[in-house]
Amino acid sequence: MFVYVVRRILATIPVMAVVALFVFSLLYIAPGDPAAVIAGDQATPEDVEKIRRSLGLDRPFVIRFGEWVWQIARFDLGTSIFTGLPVTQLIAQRLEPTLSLMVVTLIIAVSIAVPLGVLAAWKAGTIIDRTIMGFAVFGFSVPVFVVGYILAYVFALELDWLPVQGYTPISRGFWPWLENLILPSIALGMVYIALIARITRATMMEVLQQDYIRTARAKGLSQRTVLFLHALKNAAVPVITVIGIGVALLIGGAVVTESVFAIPGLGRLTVDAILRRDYPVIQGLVLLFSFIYVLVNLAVDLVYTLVDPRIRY
Amino acid sequence: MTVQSPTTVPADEAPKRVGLWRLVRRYPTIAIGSTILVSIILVAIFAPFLGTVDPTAISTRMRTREPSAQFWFGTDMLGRDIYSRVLYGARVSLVVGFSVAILASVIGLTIGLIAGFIRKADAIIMRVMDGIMSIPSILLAIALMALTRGSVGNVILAITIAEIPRVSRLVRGVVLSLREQPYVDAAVAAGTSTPVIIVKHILPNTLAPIIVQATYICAAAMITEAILSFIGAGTPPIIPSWGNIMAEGRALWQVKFYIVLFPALFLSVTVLAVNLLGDGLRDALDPRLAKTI
Repeated sequence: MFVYVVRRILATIPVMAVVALFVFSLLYIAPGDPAAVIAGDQATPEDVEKIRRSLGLDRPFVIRFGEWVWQIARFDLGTSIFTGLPVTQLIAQRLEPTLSLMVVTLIIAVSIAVPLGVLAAWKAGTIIDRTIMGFAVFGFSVPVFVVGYILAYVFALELDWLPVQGYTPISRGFWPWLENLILPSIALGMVYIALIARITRATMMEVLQQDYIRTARAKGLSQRTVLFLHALKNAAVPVITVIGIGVALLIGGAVVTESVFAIPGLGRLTVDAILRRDYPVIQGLVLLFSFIYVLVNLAVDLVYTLVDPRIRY
Repeated sequence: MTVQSPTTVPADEAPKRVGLWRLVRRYPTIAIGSTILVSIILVAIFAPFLGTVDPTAISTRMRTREPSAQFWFGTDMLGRDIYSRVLYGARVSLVVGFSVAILASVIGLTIGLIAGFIRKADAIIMRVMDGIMSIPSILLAIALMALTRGSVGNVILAITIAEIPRVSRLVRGVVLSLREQPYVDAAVAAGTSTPVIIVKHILPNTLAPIIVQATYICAAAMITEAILSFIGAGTPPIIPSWGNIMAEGRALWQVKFYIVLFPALFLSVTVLAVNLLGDGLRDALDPRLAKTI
């Protein structure tokens, strides 16, 4: 068990190395010469060359990559070209809205998708099942910004139930914070709900055919106990795995959702950085998001080996 | 998804006639999906003949007109006809969707075959693929687009790179399981060369899952293109694409919702059609796969 945990943690190192290499190459091959930018318009080629040497930009790729990794290890992501601020500071300022959005989405999505998937599996083949699965195909197909605009139009503009756009920090109260996150979370969670519901249904269908489920029913246990206590527990591993994998969808979707709902988070920072070609910021964000994604999936793997006694290493 | 329901299983007492209706009855999702998709393709091809005007023609006097008999879908901030822009925009989405699906499948298939057959290459290739896959695909496409000028070709390239690992993983998995099959062992024992084994015994078996995967990639690519264009990192604004039209309507969406609505509807319906087709093909081509997802 311990060996497995160590091995699983070590396995993330090559993955992160590939990500780091990719992200570094991004800046390396990015158009525009940082030395020329710093030197300004009136610099002679000799000046630019001098600055390049003083910045160490003339050294080989491998050495610069090594230095860059060391820099990252000390939580230094460089300086934004556009604002002149450290990238870590920019990220820290924008972290709360994005984390809030993701956590609320995760909670809403899981609490809607899992019961839907269980229901679909229980009523497999009926009109209920087909309606839920039809809804899932729909959820896969309608892009997040389309759902976002339609929700905002109906529930914020027409019905005036919820705020149209913006973000309120949680320090100003729980409800004002949540109120602003409900619509974006549903929009962002749509694909996620579809994905989890499908997997839950598929695994539940398999579990429900097993003997111990028949035994549980024969004992006269209520349908709800059988479904949620006996069956769902054993269907948990694939479902949790997909919840982890689906975090990539949340990250990608957050970029768009924040644009639609004017949420000043990391997604907006990404969009602004792209439009301004602020490569250090783009680099930092890609690195951060990938790191989060790898960590989430590591956590998922470790959690279910701890939770599920059938998995032994 | 519908395959498990008893009602979709065709009645065997029906005459064994391979008619169109029978296919439609048996695989309704394929029928619906391909009908919608073919319609959209026809609309894209024949856009100039469907009552459209020049989609880039600016008319300052006709700005932000509501949908009417003259402007079916209204006009945008520059007075351009949204109906024409949406119809022409179908071209971008379809070209991107199909190109990415084909490119990612072919390249992914090649990489997957190499990884599945050459043990030494496998470890390295799969670590690289894992690395690429751990960057959320939209973010990867965004980062790649930041390096290049916005053009349809670059959009296709960026999304393709993000989608390749999924195909190569799938193919590698199929190859690894097939290599253990007795008939492959028999072929090896009979002295069949590796290329022949790949072409004759492995490739045909990877085809079905790849076709299914390709339709899903096509759908995902269409959404990614729209997202890239929507945030201003995709198709250049001069070319009408659904994402671009929505990006232009973004500032006005609270007062002029129709600018965002029409491209959004077309995008959603097209992606839905491709996904339905994919689900149908999955059920039709690979019943085992249908059970797992």
